[in-house]
Amino acid sequence: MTHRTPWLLLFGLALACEGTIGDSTSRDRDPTPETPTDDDGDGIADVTVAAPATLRRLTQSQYRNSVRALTGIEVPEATALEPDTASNGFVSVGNARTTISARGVEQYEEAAYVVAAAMAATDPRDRIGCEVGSAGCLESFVRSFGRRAFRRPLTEAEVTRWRTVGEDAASTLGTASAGIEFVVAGMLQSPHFLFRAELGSGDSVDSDTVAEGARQFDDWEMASRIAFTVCDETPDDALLDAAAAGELTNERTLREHVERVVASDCARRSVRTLFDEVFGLAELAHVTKDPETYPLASSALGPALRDSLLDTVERWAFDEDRPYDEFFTARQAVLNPQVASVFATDPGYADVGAEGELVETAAARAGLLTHPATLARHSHAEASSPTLRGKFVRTSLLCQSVPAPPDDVGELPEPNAAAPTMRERLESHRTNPACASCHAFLDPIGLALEQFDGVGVFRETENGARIDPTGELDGVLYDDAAGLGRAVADHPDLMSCLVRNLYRTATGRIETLGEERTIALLTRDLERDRLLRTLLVELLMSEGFRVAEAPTAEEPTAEEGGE
Amino acid sequence: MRTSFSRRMFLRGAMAGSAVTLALPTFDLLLNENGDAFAQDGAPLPKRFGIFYWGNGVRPAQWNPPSTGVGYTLSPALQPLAPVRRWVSCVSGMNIRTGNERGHHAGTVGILSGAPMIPQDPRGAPYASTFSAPSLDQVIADRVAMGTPFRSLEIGISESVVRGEGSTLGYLSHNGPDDFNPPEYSPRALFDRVFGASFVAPDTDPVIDPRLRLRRSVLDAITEDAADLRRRLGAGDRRRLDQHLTGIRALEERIAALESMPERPSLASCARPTSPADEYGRDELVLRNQVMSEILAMAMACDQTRVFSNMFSGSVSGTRYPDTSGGHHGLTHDEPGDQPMVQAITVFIMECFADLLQALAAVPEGDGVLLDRCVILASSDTSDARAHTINDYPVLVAGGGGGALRTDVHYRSPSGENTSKILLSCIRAMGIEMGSFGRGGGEVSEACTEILV
Repeated sequence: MTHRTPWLLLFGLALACEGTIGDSTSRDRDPTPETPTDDDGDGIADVTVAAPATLRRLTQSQYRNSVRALTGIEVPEATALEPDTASNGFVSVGNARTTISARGVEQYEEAAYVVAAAMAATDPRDRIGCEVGSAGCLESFVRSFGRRAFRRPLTEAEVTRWRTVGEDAASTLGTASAGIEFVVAGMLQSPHFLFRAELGSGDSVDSDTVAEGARQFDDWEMASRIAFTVCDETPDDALLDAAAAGELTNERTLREHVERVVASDCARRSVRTLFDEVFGLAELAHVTKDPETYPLASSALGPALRDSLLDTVERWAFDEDRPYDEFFTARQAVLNPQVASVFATDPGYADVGAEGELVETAAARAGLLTHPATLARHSHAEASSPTLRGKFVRTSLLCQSVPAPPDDVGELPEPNAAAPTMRERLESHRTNPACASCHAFLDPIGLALEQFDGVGVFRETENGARIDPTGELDGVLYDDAAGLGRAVADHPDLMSCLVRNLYRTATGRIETLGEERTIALLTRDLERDRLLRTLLVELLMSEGFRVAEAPTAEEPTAEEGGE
Repeated sequence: MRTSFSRRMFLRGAMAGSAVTLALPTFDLLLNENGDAFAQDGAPLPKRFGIFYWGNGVRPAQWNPPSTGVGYTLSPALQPLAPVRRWVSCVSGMNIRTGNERGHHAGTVGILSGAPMIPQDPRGAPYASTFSAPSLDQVIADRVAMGTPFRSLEIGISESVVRGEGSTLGYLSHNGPDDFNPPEYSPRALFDRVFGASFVAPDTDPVIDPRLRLRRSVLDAITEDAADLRRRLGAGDRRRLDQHLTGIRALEERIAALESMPERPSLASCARPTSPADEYGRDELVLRNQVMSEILAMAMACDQTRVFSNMFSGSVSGTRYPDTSGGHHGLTHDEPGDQPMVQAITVFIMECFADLLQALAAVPEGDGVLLDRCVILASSDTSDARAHTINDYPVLVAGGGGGALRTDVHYRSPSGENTSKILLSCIRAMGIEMGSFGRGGGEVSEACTEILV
């Protein structure tokens, strides 16, 4: 092993050591005059202030899933698409802020023609519902395909517009199927498809628990919200039929549909999306580990670790009905070759599982904090990082805030006889008062995970000295990583933070004070059985998820260059 | 330097170490008989603009040249530029005047747009910001793209980019706040985009393909869809949709140009290059930069675009460079002493910048080479990365600017002048008349005349 210079770890280790820490994000915000009151003192704000409706661009996975659902054709893996852009750590938040670049327009066009040509080349009669070329077939296709692509019935003007496109193509190219091809290619590029226009188009809300001025999402918008939140794709015909029948703005029928969708197979995607975002796993595709330090490092490692973690949570949530707190204590993981190679040196690990199987892990490895995907993601290229890992637990799992590191950071001592392991080398951070306030808050969490290196391989020693994994989390003492897992599982902020994270991915925004009522009510719901499926249903049913502050639909001014 | 270029350009593809050499047709066959810059029926050869940008600054003591004026002595960091020095000027001693509210972020926005950054609520991330104004490449593209198929081309080399701190760290080219032009990281994808099935050499006849008109009519229908949607949106979402519409119009114009083939300059050196390899390993920064530079050079030789940007590495990037023991950003803060590894990284990046200039210099055009008609701005997100300074900023201006730029000169400002003056110089060197440039503290009405002819 080459001796790695330790000072390069420092950036991740030095944090600003002033300011308040440890408050939940909501308490950081300045109270505004609109701050909802809590007159009955039950700890839950009395009213919801509806969040502004925002146009949301489909994520890459929503685009791919929706195209597949609409056409039966897979967008080729190699087809590049406008990149997902995270804001506040969430792609769903970023895509509610950004737009589509000129390059993105080209990419969506190319993808649309690839898919449309493939669809037209197959026998699409069952998708089209009529004999291509027969009288009225093109128009009926425009209506049915348009309803699914735009997630609402087309206006007559839109039917005419797209039928004309199809007729033009059919007559110009001399085949009826060309009409289908150009309608499909066109609708897949329309902003009605590429953006989710859930704008609060329903009735104005009349409720004691919602501040004035809010509007309901209408039935079609609810179909879209349900389908994208649960299945990560455009709504199917069953949901659209329910919308047409007015069943998604009615409390009783809405619950029936929500429960049906959450029970369906595609609901697994919601849990994958949530954990992908919260654990920051997409970055694993870009993380480069130093192959000299980590012989297991390869370009396949990161993506495989990500798959295993997501497979594991999917199994727990949907096949085992495991409560969320057990996600941090359960000694299980879904195997693939790369994960198995990390596990191979765990003491007492029985290598008996097959690929894709949920297997028992060694005693040292308990819960998602010790999953190699988590450990590798929250590490440096050539070393583990107690501070990055501690920060991940504080900010992402407990929704606590940690100040940014200062510009001028000190240096971490080289490993030496007196300070062989990270614990001793970090000692100055916890004794120097300028650093201690932050590092005492972060480092003990990460030090409990020091028995796992920068790719998650178990180790008992560092530089020949025994690693001491004991520590304390907000008053709870623990002996090792498994103990840390139990402390996280029992932490009072764990459930509300899961609610916040799901709310953020589902709504594409970071909640503000006006939305705290929804968060609090959902936390209460979740604490009953701690099941993700329950939380999904209750989120979609919650009043806060069904109302919006609609945009003021003023006429475009001349300056804005209205059409 | 690792590579010497001959008059023939090569596109190197490398898979598993085996280099594939794909020669272009010899220029002798392609050269115009009279070989001058103004063909009998063509428009004058255009000027081109580019940005080369890297993250994490420089070591100022090893960056700033020890002498000033024409034929200045290259500093240790600038040694790799020796073979192309006759095209390279250095401006030192100038300051970014748009504030330094946050290291890396402020410098990025200041040097690329001459305007202050917009801080954003970071929540989960350490910090977040976006641009308040378009970046220089887009300001110039507005005026020089003139219906070229690609208004601008964006490439990136290192994919180790900070993606969670807002658009400032994620992207170089911006149209405005939260509105950016993502780069292409794959040489193959860049090739396919420019020289793929839709490429038509400039001198060929218009294409008679009925599908082109149908594609435009589809885009018309989409534009009508967008107009319907727009009426239902608030002001912020309208701006986002309008930007999307700008892209749709650009595509429509590109298709229309294929159908009509408007008059183009004589482009004797234009030839469709051969497709590069599909994959470059993530450590193959040198190769990726060379191949993409060569594709960019030919894209400009064929007048497919007149503006490009190369985000060689992102701001705060933790890119691993050869023979170093850590990520770039971490090293700038943590490497003790004179930071030899950080300095070696700067030299490495300048080698790659030299490769870009070599690629542009390898394409004959008129009575000179393509680089003679280029204006290239090269800079970073900070001066001294360890301290996040924005004074004595590292800036190079390369290319002949069609005779508008003084080259091979080092101007050191005695008074900490505004770096926006350099940006305004680039604008004017491109032949664009603009009275002032920049916003807030970045606004200037005088150019840096020392680098202008």
